[in-house]
Amino acid sequence: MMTHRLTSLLICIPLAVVISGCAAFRSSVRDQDPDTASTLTAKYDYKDLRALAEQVSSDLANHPFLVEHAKKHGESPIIAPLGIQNRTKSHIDMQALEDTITTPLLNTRKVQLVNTKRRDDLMREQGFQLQNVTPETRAAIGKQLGAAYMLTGSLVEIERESGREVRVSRKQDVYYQLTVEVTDLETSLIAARTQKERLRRASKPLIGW
Amino acid sequence: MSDKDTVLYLMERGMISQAAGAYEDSTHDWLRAVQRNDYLEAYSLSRGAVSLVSNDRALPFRGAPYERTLMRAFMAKNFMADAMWDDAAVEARNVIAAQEDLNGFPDDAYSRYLAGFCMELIDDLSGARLQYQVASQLVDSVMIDPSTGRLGLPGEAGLRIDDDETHELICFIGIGGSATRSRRYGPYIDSTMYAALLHEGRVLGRSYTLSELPRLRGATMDRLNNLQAAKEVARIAVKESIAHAVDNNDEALGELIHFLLFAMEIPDDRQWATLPTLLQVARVTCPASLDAFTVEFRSSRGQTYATRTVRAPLARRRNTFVSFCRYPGNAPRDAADRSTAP
Repeated sequence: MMTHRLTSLLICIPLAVVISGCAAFRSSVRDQDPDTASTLTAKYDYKDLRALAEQVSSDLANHPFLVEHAKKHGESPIIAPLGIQNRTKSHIDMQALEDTITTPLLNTRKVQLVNTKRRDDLMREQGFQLQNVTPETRAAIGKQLGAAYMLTGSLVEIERESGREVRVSRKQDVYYQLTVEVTDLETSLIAARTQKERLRRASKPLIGW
Repeated sequence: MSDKDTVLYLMERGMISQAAGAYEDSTHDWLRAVQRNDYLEAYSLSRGAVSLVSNDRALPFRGAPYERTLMRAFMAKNFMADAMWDDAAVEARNVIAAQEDLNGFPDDAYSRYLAGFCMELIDDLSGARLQYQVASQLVDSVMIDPSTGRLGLPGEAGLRIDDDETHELICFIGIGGSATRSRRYGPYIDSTMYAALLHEGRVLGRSYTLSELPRLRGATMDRLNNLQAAKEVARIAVKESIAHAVDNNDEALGELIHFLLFAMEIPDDRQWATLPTLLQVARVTCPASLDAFTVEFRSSRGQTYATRTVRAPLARRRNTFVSFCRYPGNAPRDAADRSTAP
Protein backbone atom coordinates (compact mmCIF):
# COMPACT_ATOMS: atom_id res chain seq x y z
CA MET A 1 0.00 0.00 0.00
CA MET A 2 2.77 2.38 1.07
CA THR A 3 4.86 1.38 -1.91
CA HIS A 4 1.90 1.94 -4.23
CA ARG A 5 1.29 5.44 -2.86
CA LEU A 6 4.97 6.27 -3.06
CA THR A 7 5.16 5.08 -6.65
CA SER A 8 2.11 7.17 -7.59
CA LEU A 9 3.63 10.26 -5.99
CA LEU A 10 6.96 9.67 -7.72
CA ILE A 11 5.16 9.57 -11.03
CA CYS A 12 2.65 12.36 -10.46
CA ILE A 13 4.94 15.01 -9.01
CA PRO A 14 7.52 15.05 -11.81
CA LEU A 15 4.71 14.84 -14.34
CA ALA A 16 3.03 17.87 -12.79
CA VAL A 17 6.30 19.76 -12.81
CA VAL A 18 6.95 18.88 -16.44
CA ILE A 19 3.47 19.81 -17.59
CA SER A 20 3.40 23.09 -15.69
CA GLY A 21 6.86 23.96 -16.95
CA CYS A 22 6.34 22.83 -20.54
CA ALA A 23 5.98 25.83 -22.84
CA ALA A 24 3.51 24.05 -25.10
CA PHE A 25 0.97 24.11 -22.31
CA ARG A 26 1.36 27.77 -21.48
CA SER A 27 0.27 30.82 -23.46
CA SER A 28 3.07 33.26 -24.07
CA VAL A 29 3.62 36.53 -25.85
CA ARG A 30 7.03 37.56 -27.15
CA ASP A 31 8.27 40.47 -29.20
CA GLN A 32 9.57 39.47 -32.60
CA ASP A 33 11.96 41.28 -34.87
CA PRO A 34 9.98 41.99 -38.05
CA ASP A 35 13.18 41.68 -40.06
CA THR A 36 13.96 38.15 -38.95
CA ALA A 37 10.66 36.58 -37.89
CA SER A 38 9.51 33.76 -40.17
CA THR A 39 6.31 34.03 -42.16
CA LEU A 40 3.19 32.00 -41.38
CA THR A 41 1.30 32.27 -44.64
CA ALA A 42 1.77 32.37 -48.39
CA LYS A 43 -0.72 35.23 -48.55
CA TYR A 44 0.04 38.94 -48.19
CA ASP A 45 1.39 39.74 -44.72
CA TYR A 46 3.43 42.38 -42.87
CA LYS A 47 6.66 41.16 -44.49
CA ASP A 48 5.21 41.93 -47.92
CA LEU A 49 4.01 45.32 -46.76
CA ARG A 50 7.50 46.23 -45.59
CA ALA A 51 9.53 44.61 -48.36
CA LEU A 52 7.44 45.76 -51.34
CA ALA A 53 7.00 49.29 -49.99
CA GLU A 54 10.69 49.63 -49.20
CA GLN A 55 11.73 48.52 -52.68
CA VAL A 56 9.23 50.84 -54.38
CA SER A 57 10.07 53.90 -52.32
CA SER A 58 13.78 53.29 -52.84
CA ASP A 59 13.27 53.06 -56.61
CA LEU A 60 11.21 56.23 -56.73
CA ALA A 61 13.61 58.15 -54.47
CA ASN A 62 16.46 57.37 -56.87
CA HIS A 63 14.53 57.84 -60.09
CA PRO A 64 16.04 60.33 -62.59
CA PHE A 65 12.72 62.23 -62.98
CA LEU A 66 13.21 63.80 -59.51
CA VAL A 67 16.54 65.28 -60.54
CA GLU A 68 15.19 66.40 -63.92
CA HIS A 69 12.22 68.12 -62.30
CA ALA A 70 14.38 69.83 -59.67
CA LYS A 71 16.74 71.07 -62.38
CA LYS A 72 13.90 72.40 -64.51
CA HIS A 73 11.75 73.96 -61.78
CA GLY A 74 14.24 74.65 -59.02
CA GLU A 75 12.36 72.67 -56.39
CA SER A 76 11.37 69.10 -55.59
CA PRO A 77 8.20 67.87 -57.35
CA ILE A 78 4.84 68.01 -55.61
CA ILE A 79 3.05 64.67 -55.83
CA ALA A 80 -0.55 63.77 -55.00
CA PRO A 81 -0.87 60.13 -53.83
CA LEU A 82 -4.22 58.97 -55.22
CA GLY A 83 -4.34 55.41 -54.01
CA ILE A 84 -3.16 51.96 -54.92
CA GLN A 85 -5.81 49.67 -56.35
CA ASN A 86 -6.37 46.27 -54.76
CA ARG A 87 -6.64 43.68 -57.54
CA THR A 88 -6.14 40.66 -55.30
CA LYS A 89 -8.45 38.13 -53.65
CA SER A 90 -7.76 39.40 -50.14
CA HIS A 91 -9.01 42.48 -48.30
CA ILE A 92 -5.72 44.33 -47.95
CA ASP A 93 -5.26 47.69 -46.29
CA MET A 94 -4.08 49.62 -49.36
CA GLN A 95 -3.86 52.87 -47.42
CA ALA A 96 -1.24 51.24 -45.20
CA LEU A 97 0.71 50.17 -48.28
CA GLU A 98 0.56 53.66 -49.74
CA ASP A 99 1.65 55.20 -46.42
CA THR A 100 4.56 52.77 -46.14
CA ILE A 101 5.72 53.80 -49.62
CA THR A 102 5.27 57.56 -49.24
CA THR A 103 6.68 58.00 -45.71
CA PRO A 104 10.32 57.20 -46.51
CA LEU A 105 9.92 59.02 -49.82
CA LEU A 106 8.80 62.16 -48.01
CA ASN A 107 11.64 61.83 -45.52
CA THR A 108 14.23 61.94 -48.29
CA ARG A 109 13.10 65.56 -48.98
CA LYS A 110 13.35 64.78 -52.67
CA VAL A 111 9.57 65.04 -53.07
CA GLN A 112 6.72 67.05 -51.55
CA LEU A 113 3.37 65.36 -50.98
CA VAL A 114 -0.09 66.90 -50.82
CA ASN A 115 -2.45 65.37 -48.30
CA THR A 116 -5.22 64.12 -50.61
CA LYS A 117 -6.88 61.93 -47.96
CA ARG A 118 -7.48 64.80 -45.55
CA ARG A 119 -8.82 67.40 -47.95
CA ASP A 120 -12.28 67.38 -46.38
CA ASP A 121 -10.79 67.82 -42.89
CA LEU A 122 -8.55 70.57 -44.19
CA MET A 123 -11.44 72.48 -45.76
CA ARG A 124 -13.52 72.03 -42.63
CA GLU A 125 -10.72 73.38 -40.44
CA GLN A 126 -10.14 76.31 -42.76
CA GLY A 127 -13.85 77.09 -42.69
CA PHE A 128 -13.84 76.95 -38.92
CA GLN A 129 -10.81 79.24 -38.72
CA LEU A 130 -12.41 81.72 -41.10
CA GLN A 131 -15.36 82.09 -38.73
CA ASN A 132 -13.75 81.71 -35.35
CA VAL A 133 -10.02 82.40 -35.39
CA THR A 134 -8.20 85.73 -35.15
CA PRO A 135 -6.98 87.12 -38.49
CA GLU A 136 -3.37 87.03 -37.34
CA THR A 137 -3.38 83.35 -36.56
CA ARG A 138 -5.81 81.90 -39.11
CA ALA A 139 -4.54 79.89 -42.07
CA ALA A 140 -5.00 81.73 -45.35
CA ILE A 141 -7.58 80.34 -47.77
CA GLY A 142 -6.63 79.56 -51.35
CA LYS A 143 -2.94 78.98 -50.66
CA GLN A 144 -2.85 75.25 -51.23
CA LEU A 145 -0.18 74.11 -53.64
CA GLY A 146 -1.13 72.18 -56.71
CA ALA A 147 0.45 68.85 -57.42
CA ALA A 148 2.50 68.38 -60.56
CA TYR A 149 2.27 64.60 -60.45
CA MET A 150 -0.03 61.91 -59.16
CA LEU A 151 1.11 58.64 -57.60
CA THR A 152 -1.05 55.61 -58.30
CA GLY A 153 -0.58 51.90 -58.52
CA SER A 154 -2.07 48.44 -58.27
CA LEU A 155 -1.39 45.20 -56.44
CA VAL A 156 -2.12 42.04 -58.40
CA GLU A 157 -2.31 38.50 -57.08
CA ILE A 158 -1.97 35.25 -58.97
CA GLU A 159 -2.58 32.07 -57.04
CA ARG A 160 -2.13 28.52 -58.22
CA GLU A 161 -2.61 25.23 -56.44
CA SER A 162 -1.41 21.78 -57.37
CA GLY A 163 -4.05 19.78 -59.25
CA ARG A 164 -6.28 16.98 -58.07
CA GLU A 165 -4.26 13.86 -57.37
CA VAL A 166 -3.73 11.32 -54.62
CA ARG A 167 -1.42 12.99 -52.12
CA VAL A 168 -1.24 14.00 -48.47
CA SER A 169 -0.48 17.68 -48.97
CA ARG A 170 -1.29 20.37 -51.48
CA LYS A 171 1.13 22.98 -52.75
CA GLN A 172 0.00 26.56 -53.22
CA ASP A 173 1.96 29.25 -55.07
CA VAL A 174 0.97 32.84 -54.34
CA TYR A 175 2.50 35.57 -56.49
CA TYR A 176 2.10 39.30 -55.92
CA GLN A 177 3.10 42.10 -58.26
CA LEU A 178 3.03 45.72 -57.11
CA THR A 179 3.13 48.38 -59.81
CA VAL A 180 3.48 52.03 -58.81
CA GLU A 181 3.66 54.92 -61.26
CA VAL A 182 4.05 58.67 -61.17
CA THR A 183 2.09 60.53 -63.84
CA ASP A 184 2.54 64.13 -64.96
CA LEU A 185 -0.81 65.85 -64.34
CA GLU A 186 -0.31 68.31 -67.20
CA THR A 187 0.90 66.08 -69.99
CA SER A 188 -0.46 62.72 -68.68
CA LEU A 189 2.95 61.23 -69.41
CA ILE A 190 4.19 58.57 -67.02
CA ALA A 191 7.26 60.09 -65.40
CA ALA A 192 8.26 57.00 -63.46
CA ARG A 193 7.05 53.45 -63.03
CA THR A 194 8.37 50.69 -60.85
CA GLN A 195 7.28 47.11 -60.47
CA LYS A 196 8.10 44.72 -57.62
CA GLU A 197 7.09 41.11 -57.19
CA ARG A 198 7.29 38.19 -54.85
CA LEU A 199 6.39 34.50 -54.98
CA ARG A 200 5.79 32.27 -51.99
CA ARG A 201 5.01 28.55 -51.90
CA ALA A 202 3.02 26.95 -49.11
CA SER A 203 2.37 23.29 -48.48
CA LYS A 204 -0.92 22.51 -46.77
CA PRO A 205 -1.74 19.08 -45.32
CA LEU A 206 -4.86 17.44 -46.66
CA ILE A 207 -5.14 15.08 -43.73
CA GLY A 208 -4.96 15.99 -40.08
CA TRP A 209 -5.90 14.55 -36.76
CA MET B 1 -24.03 25.58 -31.28
CA SER B 2 -21.56 22.77 -31.65
CA ASP B 3 -18.11 23.37 -33.03
CA LYS B 4 -18.88 21.33 -36.16
CA ASP B 5 -21.71 23.68 -37.14
CA THR B 6 -19.73 26.92 -36.78
CA VAL B 7 -19.66 27.64 -40.51
CA LEU B 8 -23.40 27.11 -40.83
CA TYR B 9 -24.09 29.33 -37.84
CA LEU B 10 -21.92 32.12 -39.26
CA MET B 11 -23.55 31.82 -42.68
CA GLU B 12 -27.03 32.15 -41.18
CA ARG B 13 -26.10 34.97 -38.83
CA GLY B 14 -24.36 36.81 -41.64
CA MET B 15 -27.51 36.64 -43.76
CA ILE B 16 -29.67 37.90 -40.91
CA SER B 17 -27.27 40.80 -40.30
CA GLN B 18 -27.37 41.69 -43.98
CA ALA B 19 -31.17 41.68 -43.98
CA ALA B 20 -31.06 44.00 -40.95
CA GLY B 21 -28.72 46.40 -42.75
CA ALA B 22 -25.72 45.61 -40.52
CA TYR B 23 -23.37 45.04 -43.44
CA GLU B 24 -20.15 45.23 -41.45
CA ASP B 25 -21.32 42.62 -38.95
CA SER B 26 -22.51 40.44 -41.80
CA THR B 27 -19.16 40.68 -43.57
CA HIS B 28 -17.32 39.95 -40.35
CA ASP B 29 -19.31 36.72 -39.87
CA TRP B 30 -18.83 35.59 -43.43
CA LEU B 31 -15.11 36.28 -43.38
CA ARG B 32 -14.89 34.19 -40.23
CA ALA B 33 -16.80 31.44 -42.04
CA VAL B 34 -14.28 31.62 -44.89
CA GLN B 35 -11.36 31.36 -42.46
CA ARG B 36 -12.99 28.47 -40.67
CA ASN B 37 -13.57 26.73 -43.99
CA ASP B 38 -9.90 27.12 -44.91
CA TYR B 39 -8.97 25.52 -41.62
CA LEU B 40 -11.41 22.65 -42.26
CA GLU B 41 -9.95 21.93 -45.68
CA ALA B 42 -7.66 19.33 -44.10
CA TYR B 43 -9.60 16.08 -43.64
CA SER B 44 -9.75 15.18 -39.95
CA LEU B 45 -8.97 11.50 -39.37
CA SER B 46 -10.61 11.47 -35.97
CA ARG B 47 -13.85 12.98 -37.20
CA GLY B 48 -13.73 10.84 -40.30
CA ALA B 49 -13.47 7.74 -38.14
CA VAL B 50 -16.46 8.85 -36.08
CA SER B 51 -18.51 9.51 -39.21
CA LEU B 52 -17.67 6.02 -40.47
CA VAL B 53 -19.47 4.44 -37.51
CA SER B 54 -22.23 7.04 -37.14
CA ASN B 55 -23.17 9.39 -40.00
CA ASP B 56 -21.88 12.38 -41.95
CA ARG B 57 -23.37 14.80 -39.42
CA ALA B 58 -20.30 14.06 -37.29
CA LEU B 59 -18.22 15.90 -39.87
CA PRO B 60 -17.91 19.68 -39.63
CA PHE B 61 -20.27 21.54 -41.94
CA ARG B 62 -18.39 23.26 -44.75
CA GLY B 63 -21.28 24.12 -47.03
CA ALA B 64 -21.93 22.91 -50.53
CA PRO B 65 -19.78 24.52 -53.25
CA TYR B 66 -22.71 26.69 -54.41
CA GLU B 67 -23.29 27.85 -50.80
CA ARG B 68 -19.65 28.85 -50.40
CA THR B 69 -19.77 30.71 -53.71
CA LEU B 70 -23.03 32.48 -52.85
CA MET B 71 -21.56 33.55 -49.52
CA ARG B 72 -18.83 35.37 -51.44
CA ALA B 73 -21.42 36.86 -53.78
CA PHE B 74 -23.56 38.08 -50.88
CA MET B 75 -20.47 39.50 -49.20
CA ALA B 76 -19.82 41.48 -52.38
CA LYS B 77 -23.30 42.98 -51.95
CA ASN B 78 -22.34 44.12 -48.44
CA PHE B 79 -19.37 45.99 -49.84
CA MET B 80 -21.44 47.48 -52.65
CA ALA B 81 -24.00 48.71 -50.11
CA ASP B 82 -21.17 50.69 -48.47
CA ALA B 83 -19.79 51.84 -51.85
CA MET B 84 -16.57 49.85 -51.27
CA TRP B 85 -16.15 48.90 -54.90
CA ASP B 86 -12.60 47.55 -54.67
CA ASP B 87 -13.55 45.24 -51.83
CA ALA B 88 -16.60 44.07 -53.76
CA ALA B 89 -14.25 43.26 -56.63
CA VAL B 90 -12.07 41.23 -54.22
CA GLU B 91 -15.08 39.03 -53.48
CA ALA B 92 -15.91 38.87 -57.18
CA ARG B 93 -12.43 37.45 -57.83
CA ASN B 94 -13.04 34.88 -55.12
CA VAL B 95 -16.33 33.92 -56.80
CA ILE B 96 -14.55 33.53 -60.12
CA ALA B 97 -11.74 31.48 -58.55
CA ALA B 98 -14.28 29.21 -56.85
CA GLN B 99 -16.02 28.55 -60.17
CA GLU B 100 -12.76 27.58 -61.88
CA ASP B 101 -12.53 24.18 -60.23
CA LEU B 102 -16.08 22.92 -59.74
CA ASN B 103 -15.25 19.23 -60.02
CA GLY B 104 -18.67 18.39 -61.47
CA PHE B 105 -20.67 20.60 -59.11
CA PRO B 106 -23.13 23.08 -60.65
CA ASP B 107 -22.10 26.53 -61.84
CA ASP B 108 -24.20 29.46 -60.68
CA ALA B 109 -25.35 32.16 -63.11
CA TYR B 110 -26.34 34.65 -60.39
CA SER B 111 -22.88 34.61 -58.78
CA ARG B 112 -21.28 34.89 -62.21
CA TYR B 113 -23.42 37.89 -63.10
CA LEU B 114 -22.74 39.59 -59.78
CA ALA B 115 -19.00 38.98 -60.15
CA GLY B 116 -19.12 40.44 -63.67
CA PHE B 117 -20.99 43.47 -62.37
CA CYS B 118 -18.39 44.06 -59.65
CA MET B 119 -15.70 43.92 -62.34
CA GLU B 120 -17.66 46.40 -64.42
CA LEU B 121 -17.80 48.83 -61.52
CA ILE B 122 -13.99 48.92 -61.28
CA ASP B 123 -13.71 49.36 -65.06
CA ASP B 124 -12.48 45.82 -65.75
CA LEU B 125 -14.78 45.56 -68.75
CA SER B 126 -13.15 42.50 -70.29
CA GLY B 127 -13.47 40.64 -67.00
CA ALA B 128 -17.09 41.72 -66.75
CA ARG B 129 -17.84 40.64 -70.29
CA LEU B 130 -16.43 37.18 -69.67
CA GLN B 131 -18.59 36.63 -66.60
CA TYR B 132 -21.73 37.95 -68.33
CA GLN B 133 -21.03 35.58 -71.20
CA VAL B 134 -20.70 32.56 -68.90
CA ALA B 135 -23.83 33.59 -66.99
CA SER B 136 -25.72 33.87 -70.26
CA GLN B 137 -24.69 30.34 -71.25
CA LEU B 138 -25.90 28.96 -67.91
CA VAL B 139 -29.42 30.37 -68.20
CA ASP B 140 -31.82 29.44 -71.03
CA SER B 141 -34.74 31.59 -69.93
CA VAL B 142 -32.89 34.92 -69.81
CA MET B 143 -30.80 36.75 -72.39
CA ILE B 144 -27.74 38.66 -71.16
CA ASP B 145 -25.85 41.05 -73.40
CA PRO B 146 -22.16 40.36 -72.57
CA SER B 147 -21.02 43.84 -73.53
CA THR B 148 -23.54 45.79 -71.45
CA GLY B 149 -24.83 43.29 -68.90
CA ARG B 150 -28.42 44.13 -69.83
CA LEU B 151 -31.02 41.40 -69.35
CA GLY B 152 -34.11 40.44 -71.28
CA LEU B 153 -36.25 37.54 -72.41
CA PRO B 154 -35.17 35.35 -75.33
CA GLY B 155 -36.77 36.40 -78.58
CA GLU B 156 -36.98 40.06 -77.64
CA ALA B 157 -35.76 42.16 -80.57
CA GLY B 158 -32.70 43.62 -78.88
CA LEU B 159 -32.56 44.56 -75.23
CA ARG B 160 -34.69 47.65 -74.70
CA ILE B 161 -32.80 50.84 -73.93
CA ASP B 162 -34.44 54.08 -72.86
CA ASP B 163 -32.30 56.71 -74.58
CA ASP B 164 -33.67 59.51 -72.38
CA GLU B 165 -32.12 58.07 -69.28
CA THR B 166 -28.35 58.14 -68.81
CA HIS B 167 -28.32 56.35 -65.47
CA GLU B 168 -28.84 52.72 -64.59
CA LEU B 169 -30.19 50.97 -61.52
CA ILE B 170 -29.03 47.41 -60.83
CA CYS B 171 -31.02 45.68 -58.14
CA PHE B 172 -30.23 42.18 -56.86
CA ILE B 173 -33.45 40.50 -55.77
CA GLY B 174 -33.92 37.50 -53.50
CA ILE B 175 -37.30 35.77 -53.28
CA GLY B 176 -38.32 33.14 -50.76
CA GLY B 177 -36.37 30.96 -48.34
CA SER B 178 -34.66 27.61 -48.95
CA ALA B 179 -36.43 24.65 -50.54
CA THR B 180 -36.78 22.99 -47.12
CA ARG B 181 -38.57 25.98 -45.68
CA SER B 182 -40.98 26.26 -48.54
CA ARG B 183 -41.83 22.59 -48.06
CA ARG B 184 -42.27 23.00 -44.31
CA TYR B 185 -44.37 26.14 -44.39
CA GLY B 186 -46.85 24.98 -46.98
CA PRO B 187 -47.24 27.48 -49.83
CA TYR B 188 -44.62 27.04 -52.52
CA ILE B 189 -42.61 29.72 -54.20
CA ASP B 190 -44.10 30.76 -57.52
CA SER B 191 -41.08 30.14 -59.72
CA THR B 192 -42.36 32.67 -62.29
CA MET B 193 -42.52 35.47 -59.69
CA TYR B 194 -40.57 38.59 -60.56
CA ALA B 195 -39.96 42.07 -59.23
CA ALA B 196 -41.15 45.15 -61.08
CA LEU B 197 -39.18 48.31 -60.29
CA LEU B 198 -41.08 51.60 -60.25
CA HIS B 199 -40.16 55.22 -59.70
CA GLU B 200 -42.89 57.79 -59.03
CA GLY B 201 -45.50 55.47 -60.49
CA ARG B 202 -43.56 54.73 -63.67
CA VAL B 203 -42.38 51.19 -64.35
CA LEU B 204 -38.63 51.21 -64.92
CA GLY B 205 -38.31 47.51 -65.69
CA ARG B 206 -38.34 44.06 -64.14
CA SER B 207 -36.09 41.39 -62.68
CA TYR B 208 -35.08 38.05 -64.21
CA THR B 209 -34.26 34.79 -62.46
CA LEU B 210 -30.65 33.74 -62.91
CA SER B 211 -30.45 30.97 -60.32
CA GLU B 212 -32.95 28.77 -58.50
CA LEU B 213 -31.80 27.20 -55.28
CA PRO B 214 -33.71 23.90 -55.68
CA ARG B 215 -31.94 23.28 -59.00
CA LEU B 216 -28.52 24.09 -57.52
CA ARG B 217 -29.21 21.88 -54.56
CA GLY B 218 -30.53 19.03 -56.69
CA ALA B 219 -27.50 19.06 -58.98
CA THR B 220 -25.21 19.20 -55.93
CA MET B 221 -26.94 16.23 -54.30
CA ASP B 222 -26.61 14.21 -57.50
CA ARG B 223 -22.90 14.92 -57.63
CA LEU B 224 -22.43 14.17 -53.91
CA ASN B 225 -24.30 10.88 -54.24
CA ASN B 226 -21.90 9.83 -56.98
CA LEU B 227 -18.85 10.82 -54.92
CA GLN B 228 -20.01 9.32 -51.65
CA ALA B 229 -21.49 6.05 -52.87
CA ALA B 230 -18.29 4.21 -51.99
CA LYS B 231 -18.15 5.81 -48.55
CA GLU B 232 -21.77 4.80 -47.87
CA VAL B 233 -20.96 1.19 -48.76
CA ALA B 234 -17.86 1.27 -46.54
CA ARG B 235 -19.84 2.71 -43.63
CA ILE B 236 -22.48 0.01 -43.89
CA ALA B 237 -19.78 -2.65 -44.09
CA VAL B 238 -18.03 -1.27 -40.99
CA LYS B 239 -21.28 -1.19 -39.03
CA GLU B 240 -22.16 -4.69 -40.09
CA SER B 241 -18.70 -5.90 -39.05
CA ILE B 242 -18.94 -4.28 -35.63
CA ALA B 243 -22.43 -5.65 -35.01
CA HIS B 244 -21.38 -9.10 -36.24
CA ALA B 245 -18.28 -9.12 -33.99
CA VAL B 246 -20.39 -8.33 -30.91
CA ASP B 247 -23.07 -10.77 -32.04
CA ASN B 248 -20.54 -13.63 -31.96
CA ASN B 249 -20.11 -13.13 -28.20
CA ASP B 250 -23.61 -12.04 -27.23
CA GLU B 251 -26.53 -12.35 -29.63
CA ALA B 252 -28.85 -9.99 -27.79
CA LEU B 253 -26.19 -7.32 -27.42
CA GLY B 254 -25.23 -7.81 -31.06
CA GLU B 255 -28.81 -7.16 -32.12
CA LEU B 256 -28.91 -4.04 -29.95
CA ILE B 257 -25.63 -2.73 -31.38
CA HIS B 258 -26.89 -3.45 -34.89
CA PHE B 259 -30.07 -1.50 -34.17
CA LEU B 260 -28.21 1.46 -32.64
CA LEU B 261 -25.60 1.71 -35.39
CA PHE B 262 -28.20 1.69 -38.14
CA ALA B 263 -30.52 4.02 -36.21
CA MET B 264 -27.69 6.57 -36.46
CA GLU B 265 -27.80 6.27 -40.23
CA ILE B 266 -29.45 9.63 -40.86
CA PRO B 267 -28.69 11.82 -43.85
CA ASP B 268 -26.74 15.02 -43.48
CA ASP B 269 -29.37 17.52 -44.56
CA ARG B 270 -27.70 20.57 -43.07
CA GLN B 271 -27.98 23.50 -45.46
CA TRP B 272 -27.93 27.27 -45.47
CA ALA B 273 -31.63 27.80 -44.79
CA THR B 274 -31.80 31.60 -45.14
CA LEU B 275 -30.63 31.62 -48.77
CA PRO B 276 -33.36 32.89 -51.12
CA THR B 277 -35.05 30.36 -53.38
CA LEU B 278 -35.02 32.59 -56.44
CA LEU B 279 -31.97 34.76 -57.18
CA GLN B 280 -32.85 37.53 -59.61
CA VAL B 281 -31.31 40.63 -61.12
CA ALA B 282 -33.01 43.75 -62.44
CA ARG B 283 -31.05 46.17 -64.61
CA VAL B 284 -33.08 49.20 -65.63
CA THR B 285 -32.53 52.79 -66.68
CA CYS B 286 -33.49 55.39 -64.11
CA PRO B 287 -33.44 59.15 -63.46
CA ALA B 288 -30.21 60.75 -62.25
CA SER B 289 -31.98 62.02 -59.14
CA LEU B 290 -33.01 58.58 -57.90
CA ASP B 291 -33.17 58.46 -54.11
CA ALA B 292 -35.78 55.74 -53.65
CA PHE B 293 -37.74 53.30 -55.76
CA THR B 294 -40.59 50.85 -55.33
CA VAL B 295 -40.41 47.10 -55.85
CA GLU B 296 -43.60 45.18 -56.61
CA PHE B 297 -43.35 41.42 -56.40
CA ARG B 298 -45.67 40.04 -59.06
CA SER B 299 -46.80 36.75 -60.53
CA SER B 300 -46.32 36.04 -64.23
CA ARG B 301 -49.91 37.19 -64.77
CA GLY B 302 -49.22 40.54 -63.14
CA GLN B 303 -50.85 39.89 -59.76
CA THR B 304 -49.00 41.86 -57.06
CA TYR B 305 -48.04 39.85 -53.95
CA ALA B 306 -46.14 42.51 -52.05
CA THR B 307 -44.71 46.00 -52.39
CA ARG B 308 -41.51 47.41 -50.90
CA THR B 309 -40.11 50.94 -51.00
CA VAL B 310 -36.31 50.85 -51.11
CA ARG B 311 -34.32 53.81 -49.83
CA ALA B 312 -31.34 51.79 -48.61
CA PRO B 313 -29.12 50.27 -49.63
CA LEU B 314 -28.78 52.58 -52.62
CA ALA B 315 -25.14 53.14 -53.48
CA ARG B 316 -23.98 55.15 -56.46
CA ARG B 317 -20.92 54.97 -58.63
CA ARG B 318 -20.87 57.54 -61.43
CA ASN B 319 -24.03 56.80 -63.48
CA THR B 320 -24.83 53.52 -61.79
CA PHE B 321 -27.06 52.94 -58.79
CA VAL B 322 -26.76 49.62 -56.92
CA SER B 323 -29.27 48.14 -54.55
CA PHE B 324 -30.66 44.85 -53.35
CA CYS B 325 -33.81 43.71 -51.67
CA ARG B 326 -35.55 40.57 -50.60
CA TYR B 327 -39.06 39.20 -50.41
CA PRO B 328 -39.04 36.31 -47.93
CA GLY B 329 -42.76 35.48 -48.10
CA ASN B 330 -44.33 32.79 -50.27
CA ALA B 331 -46.85 33.33 -53.03
CA PRO B 332 -50.52 32.75 -52.06
CA ARG B 333 -51.68 29.31 -53.18
CA ASP B 334 -53.61 29.42 -56.43
CA ALA B 335 -54.71 26.42 -58.49
CA ALA B 336 -53.47 28.04 -61.69
CA ASP B 337 -50.06 28.99 -60.28
CA ARG B 338 -47.10 26.84 -61.20
CA SER B 339 -45.01 25.97 -58.15
CA THR B 340 -41.41 25.06 -57.52
CA ALA B 341 -41.16 21.40 -56.59
CA PRO B 342 -39.00 21.20 -53.45
